[in-house]
Amino acid sequence: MIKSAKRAVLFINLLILILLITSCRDQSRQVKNKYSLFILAKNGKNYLMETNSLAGGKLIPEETGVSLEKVELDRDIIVKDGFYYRKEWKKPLFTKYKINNGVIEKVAAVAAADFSLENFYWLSGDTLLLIGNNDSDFKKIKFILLKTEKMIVLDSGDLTIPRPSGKYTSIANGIVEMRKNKLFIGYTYHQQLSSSNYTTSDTTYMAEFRYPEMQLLHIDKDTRSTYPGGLNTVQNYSFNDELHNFYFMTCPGIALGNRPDRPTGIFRIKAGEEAIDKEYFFNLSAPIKNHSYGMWYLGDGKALVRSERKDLFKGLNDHYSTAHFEFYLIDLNGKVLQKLNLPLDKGTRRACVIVAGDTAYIAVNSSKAGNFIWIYNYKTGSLKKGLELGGSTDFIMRIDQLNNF
Amino acid sequence: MKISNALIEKYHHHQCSAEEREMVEQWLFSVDDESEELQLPAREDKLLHKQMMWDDIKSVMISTAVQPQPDDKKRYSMLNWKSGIAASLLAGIIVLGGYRFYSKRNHPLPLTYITNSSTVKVKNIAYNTYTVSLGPMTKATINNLTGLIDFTGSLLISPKEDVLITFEGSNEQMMLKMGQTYVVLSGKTVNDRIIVVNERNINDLPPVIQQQLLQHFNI
Repeated sequence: MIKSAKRAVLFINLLILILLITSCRDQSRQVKNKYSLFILAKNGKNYLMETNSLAGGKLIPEETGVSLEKVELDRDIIVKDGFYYRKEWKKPLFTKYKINNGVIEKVAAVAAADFSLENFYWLSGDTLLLIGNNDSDFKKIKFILLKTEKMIVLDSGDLTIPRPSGKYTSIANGIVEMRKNKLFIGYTYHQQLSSSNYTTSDTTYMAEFRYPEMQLLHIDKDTRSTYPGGLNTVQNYSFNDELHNFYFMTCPGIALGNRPDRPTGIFRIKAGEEAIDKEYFFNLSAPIKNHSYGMWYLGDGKALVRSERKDLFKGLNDHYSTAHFEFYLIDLNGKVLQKLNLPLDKGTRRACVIVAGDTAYIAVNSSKAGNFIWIYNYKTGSLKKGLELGGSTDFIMRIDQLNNF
Repeated sequence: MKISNALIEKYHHHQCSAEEREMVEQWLFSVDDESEELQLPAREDKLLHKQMMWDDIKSVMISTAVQPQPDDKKRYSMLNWKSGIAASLLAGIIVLGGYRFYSKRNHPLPLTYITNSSTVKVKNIAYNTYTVSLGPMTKATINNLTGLIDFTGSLLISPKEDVLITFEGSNEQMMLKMGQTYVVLSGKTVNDRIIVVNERNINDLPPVIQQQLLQHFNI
């Protein structure tokens, strides 16, 4: 009797040990993935998917995707080191999320009162600078500086950028760039004409601040094009080349600035300079005869731009649903461009390009040829299909480098 | 003016004083300013509604008239007259009550003219096939029979089944799908445009318009 009791105790202890070992193994089995994909399905549901390769295979969001039904997570997000960040629309919070065992979970949040996020900039390590409007009347540009590892706000406040005056009703921030202790903020002003119509000033403004004091040093103005950048939480509009020359694009087309009379242009702030280079302007609308939105740097002075086809859409009502976007390889120095042989893409604005070495992964939503990640080598010019998103996929809304390894 | 059931009964039994009779007749034959619900919206056909009400009253009276005739003609013709009046009043009360019920329960008639003059609040209307939310400072004329919506301002439409809608000024019939929510904006100014976007694609709208929607609908 005593023997059997002893055996039972030993057996239970052994069972607990086995369970502990297997649970540890499960935790270590939680593999970090390199990439994440944000999918909008045909039924209106959003999914996040994580994968280690974009080079091939097929993913079905409703089978292996993480449903975002229970969280307020849309595609205007920041993705870094396995985490997803978003300024919540309905709450004054900037929230950090993580996918754990196939479920999206809130990790932490910081206060972001009266704040509508437009752009972000990663400083060293986990220091993140958020730039946005006050969401009470969109007349101020504000900032929040935080550490994302522990989710602690270091500083926040208003930037001393002149508020809209005269006929102008709101302000739009579109570019954020940091050079040592100098912060550059690109912006312009809007005039609301009615509940469904607005226009934009013909001027691109670039304000320079001393960082971290956030002291305004000067404001540069340029009328060669307007509406600098856009929301980089949704799509990218700027980059530095290998020599630290900073390039940004303007988006006066109907989907952003609504000044279609002005051309899409690329501006430059040369390395070491503190003002827009008056000698440099790459007018993209002249050769393409359309407006562009979105720009990604490849290397060696080459970049990709995403350009609309006004002969294929009627207006804003079908701008997002009609496949009409084309990708161009552009040479920043020679100011020449070449159209990529890709199917027409749909979705007005998307974070749809990841660059790794000589390769660019380009997510294309074709109405006829499916939803694929295309693999483009800008040096050899080779272009082939990679990962397919099947099932109920309607749009690949964004692809991100989730982890670097 | 307060007219009780007892007073109406007294009136029909010819038991009212001259003053009471005058009060009842004034109530019966005049438009009461306090009854705001009886004010038909603009563009509503008053004659059509009048005809509908009389048809309802008539149907009650006819059904009363086809009942078996009693032996005592005089007694029953008196009863018929009384029940006719009672039926008319009853039908009238049912029709008017129904109209009030519809107005209060936000089940509008096929053609409705709605104004949301609030600068902050949203006004919600439920139809059989869809619900519509009017943003602040929005005016709309909604014809549920033809599917034509003429409006200025901002709307959110959530169809309960697939519906075909034409927005005045766009000259194009649009299929709005069940279970989705659509954002519709119209300014009605020179060079203005009507914007119809599925709520799920709201991030594709220009940020300025997204800001408007955030302020209007908190979406």
